Amino acid sequence: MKNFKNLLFVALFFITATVLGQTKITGTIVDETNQPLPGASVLVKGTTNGTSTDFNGKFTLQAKSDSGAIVISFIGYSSKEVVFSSSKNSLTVQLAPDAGSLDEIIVMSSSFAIDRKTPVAVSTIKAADIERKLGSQEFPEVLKSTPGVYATKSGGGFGDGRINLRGFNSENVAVMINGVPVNDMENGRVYWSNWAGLSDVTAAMQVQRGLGASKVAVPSIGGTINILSKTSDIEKGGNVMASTGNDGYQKYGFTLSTGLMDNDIAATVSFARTTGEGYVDGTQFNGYNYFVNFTKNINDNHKLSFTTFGAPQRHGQRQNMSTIAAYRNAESGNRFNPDWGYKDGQVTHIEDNFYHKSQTSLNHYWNISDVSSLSTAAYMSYGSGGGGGTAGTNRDLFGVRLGGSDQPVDLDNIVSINRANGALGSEAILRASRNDHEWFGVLSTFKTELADGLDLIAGVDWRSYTGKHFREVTDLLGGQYYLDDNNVNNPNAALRVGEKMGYNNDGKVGWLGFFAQLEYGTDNFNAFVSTSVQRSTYQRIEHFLYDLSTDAGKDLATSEKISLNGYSIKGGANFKLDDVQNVFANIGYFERPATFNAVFNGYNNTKVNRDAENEKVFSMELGYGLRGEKFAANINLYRTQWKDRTFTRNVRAQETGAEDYTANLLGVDALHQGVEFDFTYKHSDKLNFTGMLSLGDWKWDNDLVDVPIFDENQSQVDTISLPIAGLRVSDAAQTTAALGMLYKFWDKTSVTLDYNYFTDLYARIDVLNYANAATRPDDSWKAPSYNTMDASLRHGFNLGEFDTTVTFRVNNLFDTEYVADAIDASDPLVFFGFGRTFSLSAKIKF
Amino acid sequence: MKKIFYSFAILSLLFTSCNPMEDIYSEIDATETVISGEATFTLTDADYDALDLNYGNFSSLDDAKADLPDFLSGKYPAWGAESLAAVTFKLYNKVNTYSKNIYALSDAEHNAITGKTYGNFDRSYHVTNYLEATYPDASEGDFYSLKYRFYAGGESTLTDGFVFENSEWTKITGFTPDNYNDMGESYPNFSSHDEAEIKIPVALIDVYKFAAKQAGDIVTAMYELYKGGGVTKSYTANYIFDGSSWSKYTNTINETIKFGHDGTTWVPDNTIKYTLTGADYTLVGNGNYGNFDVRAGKDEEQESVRLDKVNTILLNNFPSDAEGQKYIVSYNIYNGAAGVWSLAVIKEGGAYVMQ
Repeated sequence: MKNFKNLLFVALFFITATVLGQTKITGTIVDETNQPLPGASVLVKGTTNGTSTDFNGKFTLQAKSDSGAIVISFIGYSSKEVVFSSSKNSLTVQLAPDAGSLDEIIVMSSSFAIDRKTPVAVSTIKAADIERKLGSQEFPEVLKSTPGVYATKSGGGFGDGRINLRGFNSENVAVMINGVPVNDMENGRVYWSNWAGLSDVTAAMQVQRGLGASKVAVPSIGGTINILSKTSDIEKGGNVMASTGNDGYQKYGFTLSTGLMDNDIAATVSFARTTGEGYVDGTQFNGYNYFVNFTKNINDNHKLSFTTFGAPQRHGQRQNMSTIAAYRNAESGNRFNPDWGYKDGQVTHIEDNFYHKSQTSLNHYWNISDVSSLSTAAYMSYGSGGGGGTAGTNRDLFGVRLGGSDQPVDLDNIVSINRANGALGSEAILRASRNDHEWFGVLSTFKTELADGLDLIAGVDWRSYTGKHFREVTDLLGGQYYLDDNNVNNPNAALRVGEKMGYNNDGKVGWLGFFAQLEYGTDNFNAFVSTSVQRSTYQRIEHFLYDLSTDAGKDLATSEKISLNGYSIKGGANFKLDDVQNVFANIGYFERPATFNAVFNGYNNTKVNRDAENEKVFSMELGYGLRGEKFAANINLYRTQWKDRTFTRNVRAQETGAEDYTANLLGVDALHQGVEFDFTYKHSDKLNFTGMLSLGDWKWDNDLVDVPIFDENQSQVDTISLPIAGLRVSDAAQTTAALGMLYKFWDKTSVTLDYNYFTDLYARIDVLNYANAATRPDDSWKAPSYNTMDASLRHGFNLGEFDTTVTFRVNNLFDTEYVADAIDASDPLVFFGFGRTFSLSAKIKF
Repeated sequence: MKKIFYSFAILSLLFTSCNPMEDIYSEIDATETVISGEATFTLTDADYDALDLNYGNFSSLDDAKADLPDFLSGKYPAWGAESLAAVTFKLYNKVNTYSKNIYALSDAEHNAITGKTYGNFDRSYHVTNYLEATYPDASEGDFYSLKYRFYAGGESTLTDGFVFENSEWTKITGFTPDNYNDMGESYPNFSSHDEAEIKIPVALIDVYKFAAKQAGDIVTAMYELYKGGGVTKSYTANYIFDGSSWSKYTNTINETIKFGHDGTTWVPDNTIKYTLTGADYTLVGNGNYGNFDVRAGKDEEQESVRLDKVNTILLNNFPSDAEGQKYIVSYNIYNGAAGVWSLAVIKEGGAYVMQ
């Protein structure tokens, strides 16, 4: 244990190699568990001379003086100054985790949890691990070996991945990028394709399971995924990278950094393009991603940082699941996709997705005094795009295939039918459902030290969001026009490509939240208590349903504003039993308003569910941590109750002409509890093991029995029952396990093997469909347990004077066939996970 | 160290070598994929040869029902349950022809029947009475061509054929002099059989102008040829109507039998395959999506609900179907993904029930 403590300080080695006036410094940077810290920044104090550590945490630096100090920093850790001299030039430095060091990226210092301090269950994936293991996988899949996570590729299209945390889907998992919440403002979902290139510029990714460390109100029922992007590198330079992989995967990109220039500005630009055919049939994709950051040190007390990034992309999708037998009998096996066809000899995606969401933020960090600071992020995000699909009076034509049911759709057949229709127009077309948005927000956090060890953090979270929902004609498939009669202001419209059809409305969501947190910390004890309040305001603007040439229609087109309030309160404490052991506990309760669609559930401006109920979450957690020299482990127990899941029933209007009424029913509750365990074991300098075991017990908690349904006059019109108590929560594996091994052949060459095991995956059901079922239905179909093995090989060398890394990864090494996603049915519908895939990439730093 | 490395590798291989899909796949692989087709065709000469029917027709419907299943199995070796075939074939159905020199009745022969002195008949049964008196011992198939005079407002000379069938005399109406005139003949006869064969089908259209015939109706016509020496001979010939024109009857008729594949063999079956249309979905309140929502807890999850809706649709679309009519109804479903399912129903007691 003494050793361990000593490692908190610099270990000194005396070597008598002196070059006059110049010192070559070498060293290793390690984290709190003695794991190497790749990508840590090393800078000679008072100069712009710096470098960063390689994936083994090692660095080499030529200092222009005989002695001085170097400054070592890394996101999530305290910066550290270490002196060097010509006789003391080989260093091993251990960095201690700290929230304060997050200052340098000038975002909300609130979102990242600190090991052995913040009392939440957490797993952190560093940039080097992402670079090493992600390859051509979906971004969330990099988390698959952490407890509580179930991540799949869904249909397998580029960016179509999903992640469930502790059995909760993306609506109940908060995702924050640089401290800014990015869950959709209307439905709460997260679309990973929006962030397809983010992995290139991610400095670290942290999964906080359960309530999490976020101070702003976020839907962290399952947990919070925090992604911290890189900012501008302190050192000048950059890299170019190229990847190739299975099924035509190609990725090229570069990063350029100016380093900290004389004018105290540092800029980094990153750009990449990704293309491929897709593992699944008909999922060709083309994506770009960009990242630009400018950071300016105005003076010691003010820093400004501007970041913009995005990933415009278009990809073919597999929207529809098929039965296992359908894949088994299909020519292309598990790659079968029913949602594409040929038109004029070209692959044409019937279901596709195209989107560009740009996220731009200006961050300001202000050291007001020795005890106070203020950090503010003003951000805006524009989204444009949507998903393709079919429309028309004869959509059965999309069932006509070039052969059997496993073959592509014969779109030329539709073209010839539509052409023959002449002036009658198209009877089957392709359309896109657009979901554009504009989002502005300001998030400001003030932190001050009230007394020794006692901090107050308080802030405001303001957001304004407009979502534009409409459909548009994207391909008339040979016809002259498409007849649409959904727009009162343009009845019987003969539409051409690009014109709006079906529906056209805007959702305006306003958000104002305040939060405050008290933190108390001593050497061995940390505690916090935190609260937030929030008001969501919903308003709906309609463009199609009301006659805008009349005053009455104009009035109706803009709905009333519905405001709903939510709040949260949580607290927790961490106690270090000794240098290696700690225990923590947290408890919290929050209420969050119903979603936009639960309020405007009539899809018009008149049927409004004004009395929509809040969903409630009550969560408790206990954890224990061990940080030995060789063995580090965490174990935690959680119990999360999700109460009053939004459940509404339509009550028909009693009088003609009156609007239907929405009855809000309480009592649809789920209970998610479980045990999570993870460890790292450093067997030797060459061999490391990691592992985890996650046992979930996620069930629907209670029955609704003859619950009366009242109309707006409070007279009972009906009763409803929902016999679901004990029913298994579906759509995420309740039991998961992982075992990983890293073996270093020599310094820059290593191999990893990662084994993952998933079981207790129940096919997706919506329990609300069981309303008035006579008895409790059986659990949904249970997919077969499966395991996969991934491997990677990494080799570093110098190409001329350039630091070069080549990485080869194989996912699903043994080509195991397994069901990763399923919908319950008499014959269940499934998506298979991918078979064996590979990618090879090279990165040259300069 | 090596030990750990190897045990890790072995452990993972152990885990990975078992195929999670094994049980499900063996179940699927045990189920044969059934191809069900639908065909409508007419047997060709080559088909009759293949069926060893040298005359190019079936002798009876029973023969056809007995022989065609094997033939269908040979023609569509891959087809299985729910396949349908409507086979049209020739059925041997001989209609006799006759010929005889015309016998012209004398005045006395007319008067002997009528008991009058006009030398003609004036009741339609007079000619029958004549035949019965003249040929009291007629046997089946006896044929005579009589030229006689008939008074109905005015006297005309008729030449008709009479055949003794089923113990009674049946008249075969011959062409009148006016008919021959219309056919461009100056004398009430043709010069050759060939001429007769060309002109009679045209004439029959006029003859039956006001006595509409159905497709498949067979009629017997009688015509005369002058043989020289004052002898004129009558010939009967049979013609078949196809709905618009007449052609010479070759003693076979077209019959169609529908067969269905019951999973092992073809059996006579009246099943009609029917796919629901947009209007059908609208009729039963599913017009919005044009499918049945069979997800758990949704409207059409239960087969009984879908049967009800299919029943409503069939009764609406095909009100005149006879009892016992069978359908295989295909309909779009949504169970999370779009699909097509089917129901096999039969009309019993005025409603469609599951077969």
